[in-house]
Amino acid sequence: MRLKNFLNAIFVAALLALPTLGAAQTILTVSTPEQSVTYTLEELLALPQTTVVTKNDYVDTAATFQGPRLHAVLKPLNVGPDATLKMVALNDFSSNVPAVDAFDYDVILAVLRDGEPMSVRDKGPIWVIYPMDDHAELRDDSFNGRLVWQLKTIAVE
Amino acid sequence: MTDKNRIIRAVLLIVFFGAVLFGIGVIYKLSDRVDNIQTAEQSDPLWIGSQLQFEVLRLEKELSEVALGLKPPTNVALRFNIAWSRITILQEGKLSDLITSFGIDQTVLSDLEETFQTVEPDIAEFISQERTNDAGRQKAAEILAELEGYDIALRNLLVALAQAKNSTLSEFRTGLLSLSHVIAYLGTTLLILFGIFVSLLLLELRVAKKREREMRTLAEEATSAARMKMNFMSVVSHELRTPLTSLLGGLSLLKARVGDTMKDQTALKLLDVADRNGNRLLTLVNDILDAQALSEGKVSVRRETVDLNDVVTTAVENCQVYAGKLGVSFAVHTPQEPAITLTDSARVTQILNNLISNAAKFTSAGDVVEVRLTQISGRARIEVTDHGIGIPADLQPDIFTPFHQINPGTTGANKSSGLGLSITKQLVDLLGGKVGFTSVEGEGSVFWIELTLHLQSHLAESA
Repeated sequence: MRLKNFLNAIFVAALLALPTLGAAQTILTVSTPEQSVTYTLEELLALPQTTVVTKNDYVDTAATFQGPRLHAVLKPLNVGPDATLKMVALNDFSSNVPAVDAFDYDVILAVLRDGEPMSVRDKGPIWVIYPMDDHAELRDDSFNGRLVWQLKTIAVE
Repeated sequence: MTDKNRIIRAVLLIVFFGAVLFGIGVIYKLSDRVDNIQTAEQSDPLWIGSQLQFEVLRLEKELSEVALGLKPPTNVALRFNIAWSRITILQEGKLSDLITSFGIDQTVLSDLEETFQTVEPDIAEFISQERTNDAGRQKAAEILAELEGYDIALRNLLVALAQAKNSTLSEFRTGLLSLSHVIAYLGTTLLILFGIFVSLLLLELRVAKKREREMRTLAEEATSAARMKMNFMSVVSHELRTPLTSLLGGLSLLKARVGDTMKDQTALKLLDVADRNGNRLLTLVNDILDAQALSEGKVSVRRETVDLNDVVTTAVENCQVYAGKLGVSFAVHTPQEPAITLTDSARVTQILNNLISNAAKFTSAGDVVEVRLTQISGRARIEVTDHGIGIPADLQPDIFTPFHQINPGTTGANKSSGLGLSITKQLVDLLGGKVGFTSVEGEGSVFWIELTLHLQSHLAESA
């Protein structure tokens, strides 16, 4: 009886903890051939945040994007500007981005759009955003393919 | 000629302006078209549309695997959300504008979104299910049935997109071709314009050159005419001087011989008149020769140490006889100390002779002409003051130009060449001095020259 009660308590506790666990889901993996680091949404939000207000081809009007700089997740892995980043999205779409962009510009891993988290349905949870409105050269064709949405992993090559 | 030129220029300018506007228009149009094609390529709607089809197919595959019980439904929600995101991408930003501009029927997108909305609660149920039960399989099959028919509709959308894109591209190509023709015309026009401009410039250049040549010839003619005149005068004067000297010599000898014996006073007076006029003629001839020598730069200056006191005294003495005849006397003021300078005493004497005889000539009989030598801060100033007719203010600026004289017609017996002051001015310039005057009409004139003094100490040093 005592044991059953105890098991019940554990079960309830587990049930209560479940949503928390769900919320603490890993949403980004950054990996090099040697090691990899994972991030939850909370961890990404805990990093120093940068806000970028910009327009791009996939939004109707300029929006406010917030998130850590791409550079902030590359730094712990000692990624240099010569590396190439393979950005993989949830739908397995991938795009190769030169790491030097993260050093030259405020490229961010946007997790908030206009202050709200982004759902998968709305290009979330992570959208790589270039400050296109601040730098005319970023409006070039070649940068459009680097705006990877539904980002899942960054593989450093 | 000028009117014609002006018309040609105006027409050219208008044509040029038109061509420039035309060119700007063409370039603007071209860049517009290029922008269009860039947008089409940048966010290739065909590719993004195919991604939608692909994601819907993946969702259907997932669902059918769940319906068959081959897989747990854990991934269904993710696939569903990804597929839905593809719909929103086509409905937002540039892609939406592009599809609208293509004029493609987008109802399939809104229909699909509506269907997604209706099946959303069912999908949500799958998340909580660890394993597939019969109800789940049933549900999956139902959702599949809902999605049926969209495959073909999506394919039609893709075909429409592909056609629209192709037609845009071919339109662009046609436009580019026509624009390249236009640019060729533009280039030809510009070349022609350039040619016209160059020929116009050449024409203008030729006219300017011709004009310049004419001007130069005119100037050369003018200077050579002046030189010829001067040469002629000088030759004539030179030829005149020799017989004139003989004449004057003969006259004075004749006067000496008959002066005492001849009782006929009239004859003696005639001799005097001949002598006086001969001397005037000689002065005139000498002036002309001096002026010619000065204008050709043939006058040399022989500098030596001179006491200007002596020069002034000599000059006054030279003019004494002449002035005596006019009933004019001199008052000479010189400082006690010597005024030493390094100059050509003969030239200075000539200058002073000119000024003093002028003063004597233009002052009234019985008057006293003052000659004053002063020293002011390292310079000697010699002033010759008369109380004669003076120089009218309007004639003063021209006083030092050659052949210039006050009232040449009315000065009568005092007529001269009008070269004196011009020669004086040139000589003073040659000696590095200054010459000037102040004059009031009817009251008299003060003519002055200034020469730099050579101080005693300098002399000692150089000695």
